[in-house]
Amino acid sequence: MSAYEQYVGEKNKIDAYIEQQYIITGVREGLSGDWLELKHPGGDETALLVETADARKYFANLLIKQSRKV
Amino acid sequence: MADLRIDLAGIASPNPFWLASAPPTNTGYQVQRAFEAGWGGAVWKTLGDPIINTSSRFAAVHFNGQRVAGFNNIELISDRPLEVNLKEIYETKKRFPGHAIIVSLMVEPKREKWHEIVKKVEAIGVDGLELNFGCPHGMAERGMGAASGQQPDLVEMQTMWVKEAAQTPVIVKLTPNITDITATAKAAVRGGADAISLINTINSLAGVDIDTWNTVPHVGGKGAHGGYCGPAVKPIALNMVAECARNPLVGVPISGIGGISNWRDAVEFILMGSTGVQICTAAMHHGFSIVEDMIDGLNNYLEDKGLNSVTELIGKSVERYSEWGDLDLNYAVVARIEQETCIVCNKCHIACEDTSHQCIERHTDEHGAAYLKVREEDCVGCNLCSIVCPVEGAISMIEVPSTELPLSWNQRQAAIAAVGKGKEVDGTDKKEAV
Ligand SMILES: Cc1cc2nc3c(=O)[nH]c(=O)nc-3n(C[C@H](O)[C@H](O)[C@H](O)COP(=O)(O)O)c2cc1C
Ligand code: SF4
Ligand code: SF4
Repeated sequence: MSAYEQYVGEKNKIDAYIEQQYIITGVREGLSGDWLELKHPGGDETALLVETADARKYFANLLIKQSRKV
Repeated sequence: MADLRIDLAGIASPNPFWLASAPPTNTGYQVQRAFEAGWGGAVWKTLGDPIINTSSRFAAVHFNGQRVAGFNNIELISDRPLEVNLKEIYETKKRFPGHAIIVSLMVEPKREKWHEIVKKVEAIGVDGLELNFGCPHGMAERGMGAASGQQPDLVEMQTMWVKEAAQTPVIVKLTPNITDITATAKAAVRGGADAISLINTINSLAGVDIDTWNTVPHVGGKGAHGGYCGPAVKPIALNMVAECARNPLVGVPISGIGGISNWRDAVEFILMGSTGVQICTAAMHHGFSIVEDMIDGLNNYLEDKGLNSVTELIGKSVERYSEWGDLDLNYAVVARIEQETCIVCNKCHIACEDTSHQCIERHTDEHGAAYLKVREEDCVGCNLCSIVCPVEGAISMIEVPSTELPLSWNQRQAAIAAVGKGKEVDGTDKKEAV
């Protein structure tokens, strides 16, 4: 899988949660990548391990947009 | 003709091109010939207690057909008595009153020693003083040159002593043989420096002769570390100049030195905050007449840019030099190969395949001819292929417009800090590697 395809895979997963109204509630950076914690207004929580550099950049853009909204 | 005059901390010069303190400024004969050739100023070969030089002194690094890509020396300061130099400085100034004569000084870190030399030199009428805290070799046992230039407190103290006695502007010349050049630049400013100049030479050993096992250069079979200068050091010097220029605690005019070989190099140093430049190796390699092209080139450049004076260039690129953490992560370029100009040498493919991101593909067209194509979505825009490509214009780095607002690493980390680490959601089943 090319780096781009891997990125698109990660981006799509993140987008899927965001479309379902999840918001980012935490980011834990580590050796394996960044754990992105997401929470649904209904209370459901999940965490995604984001590995590719482009996806880690992508969610940072989302995070900044999210912080502007609140 | 654009106005090439500069004023560096009160030192007026007909143009920004000065000879650096080094062999080209050793005698009145040389400096006067340099002024005749068009140099705007000269920093006289460093004066102090006259030294004794070794016989073999210089070495050069030639790289891939370019002679003197770098230059190495183990020469010390002037080996002539102070009075001889002063007489020639006086005569030179009398003949060329409109040119800048700055005298480089280096004595032991003792107050009375500095006062003595400053008074003697200023008495014959000079435009300024440059304190050589940068000579990387020799006389360290007496605490001179880089031995004192590497210690901010000594730089500050000696600058202060000089300023107690000096009537003319004082330029402090910095050694690059230090981790953070702004530490000594700030110390010089605290000591009262009117300007700083940088860089002096970088600690170096030009080479080892693999047949004789001698160092290059060697003095009867023995070598000692020297100072490196010439084109190879330009990027190091330019960064150090920029670091000083953008540091508000430095804030004094800069005389840029290090690997400047032509007017383009000079413009780069001026854009990065130098008021003027000093040159040594290029003059040693090609002679004084190189200044003619420098003056013409600079003048044409200013006219092309619609600028009236070289002073309008000073520092124009400084604000564009920042911290890595402030760069925009959303900015992106990708490589694109121009099929018309590409000679299919394969260099870019090998570079990307072996040492970058494996995204230059080799294809065959319908006529059976090979061609190369960048898989742009996987290209990280590292520039390597365009660097190794031997054909000008065969690879262009194309900007990919971003739909996002600029995002720096620092902004990203601030946003992450603001949202926090989360509460580490329970249950591995909830965690998903995407
Ligand atoms: C042979 C030689 C002797 C030098 N002597 C002195 C000196 O006496 N005082 C000084 O301040 N710098 C001295 N320098 C350093 C130059 O003034 C200058 O800082 C350095 O060479 C970098 O400029 P360049 O790359 O244009 O050569 C010397 C350099 C060379 C090559
Ligand atoms: S810019 Fe870098 S990643 Fe892109 S094609 Fe060239 S070498 Fe490969
Ligand atoms: S290095 Fe340049 S000329 Fe050679 S194949 Fe690549 S694009 Fe073509």
